[in-house]
Amino acid sequence: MSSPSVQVVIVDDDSSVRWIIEQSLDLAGISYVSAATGAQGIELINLHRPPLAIVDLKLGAMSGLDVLRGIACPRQTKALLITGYASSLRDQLKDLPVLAVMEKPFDIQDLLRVVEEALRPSA
Amino acid sequence: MYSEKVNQLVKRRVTEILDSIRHGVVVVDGKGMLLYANKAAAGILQKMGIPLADKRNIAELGLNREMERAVQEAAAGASFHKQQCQVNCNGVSMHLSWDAVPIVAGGRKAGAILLVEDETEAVAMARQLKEWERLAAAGEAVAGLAHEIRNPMAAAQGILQLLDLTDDNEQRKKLMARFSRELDRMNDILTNYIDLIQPPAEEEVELIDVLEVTKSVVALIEGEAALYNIGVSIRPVQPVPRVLGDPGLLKQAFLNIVKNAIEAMTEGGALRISMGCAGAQAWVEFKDNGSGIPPEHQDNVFRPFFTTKVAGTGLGLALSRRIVRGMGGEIKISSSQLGTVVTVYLPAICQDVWR
Repeated sequence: MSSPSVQVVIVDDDSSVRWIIEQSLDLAGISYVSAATGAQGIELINLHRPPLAIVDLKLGAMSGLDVLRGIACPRQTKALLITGYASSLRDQLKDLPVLAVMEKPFDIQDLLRVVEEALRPSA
Repeated sequence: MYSEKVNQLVKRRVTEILDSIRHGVVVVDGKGMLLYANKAAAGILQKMGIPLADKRNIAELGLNREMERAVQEAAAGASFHKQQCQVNCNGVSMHLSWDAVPIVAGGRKAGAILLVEDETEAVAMARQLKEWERLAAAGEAVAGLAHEIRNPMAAAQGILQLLDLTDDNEQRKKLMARFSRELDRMNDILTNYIDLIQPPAEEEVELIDVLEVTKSVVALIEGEAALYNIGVSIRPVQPVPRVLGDPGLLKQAFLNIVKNAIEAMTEGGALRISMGCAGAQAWVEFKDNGSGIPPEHQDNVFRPFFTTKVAGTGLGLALSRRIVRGMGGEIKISSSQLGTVVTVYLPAICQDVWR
């Protein structure tokens, strides 16, 4: 079922943010698929079971945390959360497979560093 | 001898009761001479810097002038209920609530009672609560704004870094164009936000024909509605309402409501708009048979930046409500799985005969 070719699933309802993350991953030669809604994100993550999902915290009806809770195989997929406003988030991350939280606007070099770290076989 | 004992006992009992309540009770005779003050009254007066012990007449207390006059008038038969005043004594500001009522004994005027309650703490607490509410609302709005504006900021920062990495002129041009678009978006978000929190600088108030405004809104969205196979109808009930306000703003308010209705019916449907007047109130109802608003979101639809849409700003209905409230009206929403009804109520200038 899982497709080994997809390394990252991007879940963000904002097309500009999706676009800049896609550009960054293209630069590093990392394969990805993108989702514009939380529901679509869960579907893609569970289909591809990538090592990493980059998930926006605020996704309209659903939150990024809802997406993480919907991951069927949390051992396989870790998450990089991105947010415009990270107040009092720490408590809610308990038991969720979150590698890191990045605040927008982020440096794409920093983003790629976290992504490459997550994709390293030993990670 | 016996009756004197009984009298003393009753007097002691009454004093105990009056000293147990938190209201200050001051009793004067017809000439304003002080007959009695309970413990609470002494306490309040002491806070005001007035020692009760050596005073004989209400005029000597140096009370608030309004209160003093009321006590004198109460002794002559007038009543004052639930009066409020603020007194400043010895650098302390106190909020008092008071009543002054006549005493009638044996059918004759026998003086007055002044009832005083110190509400300083309650007033301060209410103020503090209001301030907290204001801060909480502002905080929520700012958090929403931060979320929104940091999206184009994230893209803009990334574009600058990509520009640094490419020498291809065509690619650089594309990135610059994109950068400019992201700046425009930040500006749009801020403009919407400012519109929401600030009344327009020069509002042109005129008599608005609600039917005409509705028709012009429908003309704007007809193309989009046809694209999704949505029928739009307007049914005015006589008399057609006219309201006072800025027609441009009302158009904007209606447009946001209609757009929401259309976006809820992307599988096709019908938007039925009806309007009329009920006494001094005009109503305009927008009824769609779209997907409805889930119950868990119904409390949030007017909250700025609340949206479930992929490309929504979450400002549409918040802005509509601000405009309608600015015109002295209100918006009500009811929704089920069968669709949503948005009703706008406005103060009406109704005409019985309307062509």
